Amino acid sequence: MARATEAIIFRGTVVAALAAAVLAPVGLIIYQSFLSGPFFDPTATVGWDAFGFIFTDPDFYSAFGVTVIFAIGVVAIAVPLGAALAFLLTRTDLIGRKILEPLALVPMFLSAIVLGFGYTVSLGPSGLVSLGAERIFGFVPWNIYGLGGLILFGGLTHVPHVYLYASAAMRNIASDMEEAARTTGAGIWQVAWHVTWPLTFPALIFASMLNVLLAFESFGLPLILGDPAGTVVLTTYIYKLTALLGVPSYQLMAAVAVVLLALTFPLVFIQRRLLAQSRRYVTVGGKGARATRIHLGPTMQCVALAGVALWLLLAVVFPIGGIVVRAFVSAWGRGINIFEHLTLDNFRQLLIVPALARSLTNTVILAVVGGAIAVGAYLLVALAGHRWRGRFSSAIDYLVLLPKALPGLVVGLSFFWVFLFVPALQPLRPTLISLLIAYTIVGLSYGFRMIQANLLQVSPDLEEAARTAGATTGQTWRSVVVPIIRPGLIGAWTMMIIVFLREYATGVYLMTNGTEVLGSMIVSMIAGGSVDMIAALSFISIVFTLGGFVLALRLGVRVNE
Amino acid sequence: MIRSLERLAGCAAIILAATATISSPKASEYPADYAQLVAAAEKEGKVSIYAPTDPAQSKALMDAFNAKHPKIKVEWNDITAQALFSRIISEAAAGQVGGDIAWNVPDMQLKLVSMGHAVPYESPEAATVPEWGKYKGIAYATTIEPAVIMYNKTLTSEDKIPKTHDQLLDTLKNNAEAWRGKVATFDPEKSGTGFLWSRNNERLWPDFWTFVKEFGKVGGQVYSSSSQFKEKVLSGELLMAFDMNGAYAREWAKAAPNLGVIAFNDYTQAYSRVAFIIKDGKNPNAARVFLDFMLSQEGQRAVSNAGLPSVRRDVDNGNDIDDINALSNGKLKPIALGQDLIDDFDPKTRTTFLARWKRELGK
Repeated sequence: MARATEAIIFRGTVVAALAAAVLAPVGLIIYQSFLSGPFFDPTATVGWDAFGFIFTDPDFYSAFGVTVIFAIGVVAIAVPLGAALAFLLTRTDLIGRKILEPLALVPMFLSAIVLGFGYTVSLGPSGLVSLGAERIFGFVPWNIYGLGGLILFGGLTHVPHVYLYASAAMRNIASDMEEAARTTGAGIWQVAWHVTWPLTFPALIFASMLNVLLAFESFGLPLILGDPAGTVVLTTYIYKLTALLGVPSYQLMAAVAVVLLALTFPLVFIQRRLLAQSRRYVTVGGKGARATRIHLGPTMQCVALAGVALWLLLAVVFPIGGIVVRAFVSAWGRGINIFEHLTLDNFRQLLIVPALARSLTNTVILAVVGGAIAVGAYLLVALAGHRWRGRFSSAIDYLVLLPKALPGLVVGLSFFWVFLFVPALQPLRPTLISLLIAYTIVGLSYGFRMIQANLLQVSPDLEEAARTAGATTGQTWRSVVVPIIRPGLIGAWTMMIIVFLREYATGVYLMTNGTEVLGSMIVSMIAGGSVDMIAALSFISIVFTLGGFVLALRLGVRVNE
Repeated sequence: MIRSLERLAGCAAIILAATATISSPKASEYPADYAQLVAAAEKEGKVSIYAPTDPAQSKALMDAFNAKHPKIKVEWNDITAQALFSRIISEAAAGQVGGDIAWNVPDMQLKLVSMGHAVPYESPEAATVPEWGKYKGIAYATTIEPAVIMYNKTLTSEDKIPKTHDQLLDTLKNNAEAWRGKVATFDPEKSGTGFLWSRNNERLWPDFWTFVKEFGKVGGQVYSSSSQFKEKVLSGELLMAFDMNGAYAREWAKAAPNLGVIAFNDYTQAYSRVAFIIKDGKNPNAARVFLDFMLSQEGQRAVSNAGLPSVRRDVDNGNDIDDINALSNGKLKPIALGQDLIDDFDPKTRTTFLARWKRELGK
């Protein structure tokens, strides 16, 4: 009886805290969408005006349609490629996989705005690669602007989001299952299809959902790749609504955000239905069996390596190459020999501005220390939901995805309001803690799911064994469950470091003098046109992240294991 | 040589035009008890600035201010124009005002003034600000940022670039193929600056809407941030962009040899970054001292050395209002701070204007 009470108190507390942290900003946006003016304006009245406006605006419907197509396209590209990549790197003896593993995550390092700039410099109409192609073909054989380019590059750069979850799931599949299939004469692809794939299914379902949401709230890529061709998605439509009236009209922004939110519920519902029998996917049993890898023949090696190389070229080399070049030149493009314009001035400018130096320090602190704190918080939430068949267990699934379903700038604005208008939180606003809390909530869907996926794979047999031996739920978690998933926790931490390093939208409103962060500084600088500094900052952030990675590897952290 | 001739011609034009728009500099008169204000400001010890500014410019202003007032720490908040607006109205509503000085684009600033977020202050430097750059003793113009044409020198030459607004129309009409998809301006639908420029063009240029139609026909591009224009003209993706912020464009052209900048000869509109003291700010005295410094010759020189042309005539560093007027053939038309700017926020005015913009553009 005492055990049950302990668990109930723990679960109740965690779910209540989670609900408060998520629903405060989300609820504020919903409330705002039903008002005629800012929620803090006493003359604002309640009504449907904002929805009336957007639902009678033809631009809204076209943006809505484009958003849906974009999301479907991203999933159609990212999920198969991400799953294939995860399979190759975790379950086969692909040559060079040790190097490829960290490389596969690189597109995640970059904020979408930075990625977009990189693509413009390399593959844009006057890009370095484009001009090379023009010399060969007489014209530039591609156009990165428009819905096609947006889907292609959106899809390719979201592959890591799938790879990460799929590989975490695949790594934990005891290879005896695959071995069993192999000994009965099944080929590699049969094994992949009948054994690996079903076991990875929950991770892929989640990754698909996440990608749909990421596509819905994606802003940077549509801004840079969609805008020039007049391709408007819902997030860039919000941008337009803001300028339409000259001053931000929060109710219109909020109404679009609520539409995006409304789309999330059926998605999560479908996901829950698909994963209803999660017990089917238990893979870490009491018997420890580590992976042996599937042997690829020379032909398969070549085909697989060529595919991975092509993807790396498009999703890593071109955007990062673009940024690196841009960071070290003062001019580029048609009729320009970039070697005549090499310079270090872009970096020199950074050194003289204290806010920029501060933003680098703050970003690293938030990512490394904040990332660890966030993982601790996610672990508590994941444990609260673990093996819970209670009435509110489904609430966690919805709560976790809510913040990711909203456009980042809108969530950022809402957090700013929460810290501004809730008296108890006011002292936190000018500190990094406010950013940490906002980042932790925004990053929930990434980190929490990684931990949850790991937990799901721990066989209940182990927990039951501990209970039989007299352990309480808390003791079972501390002594059995958490140690088993420790590699998963370290992987989640690495993940949060990356997510926090490249985050840009959340801090735009919240950051203040002393709490500047890199990504949000870049957003502030885009309007002014300090592209030289933006390129240099982006370059530094790439170096930081790569440096962190190399350090982690040196220290023996197995990335995303 | 050519440049100095141009300047000479420009100066002559100023004299001939007997400019009504630009008043002669007047001396600033600091009251005898100004030291008391400075002492009170030093007691506050800091001043918080809300401004979307390039780091180089904010740094220049901060350094110059700190050199003169080392006891007043400047806390700079570099946030976007929209975020600045949101922050000021939200903080006021929450009773948590965090800024002392707001420094932003003119229309949004006057809108905030009209909403009661600014406090009046008769700066001793007020006499040095042109009449059109002052609003009700509350808000002051601090810069003069002209709308210019920026073009790619490697891919086109100056003689192909139009020099007047009517030439711009003719150029697009007569050489449609050469300019197809290669000419751009700010998007009035997505950018407040774009709206400001376009709306002002409508007032100053009888053929504006005819032009918009031609601009649409040649597949004219629209973007919403200066950085996008810079990269696209720099790389040759665009040949020419008009109504760019000349303050930025001139700085860029110094570093990038393939960027060319020219101003229109018939009229060159210009806006000013406007500063005011935020109501209920925590450091009201430091705010006054800072605003005075922003308007002072010293402060203006620091900012204009870093790129933003001074609204004062006596800065004499090659980047003050006289230089910008010379660049514009003596036809500088600053956007005056007045009720017009506030009236343009009327939703009906804006939606009517933007609906016509889309219609004429053929979108």
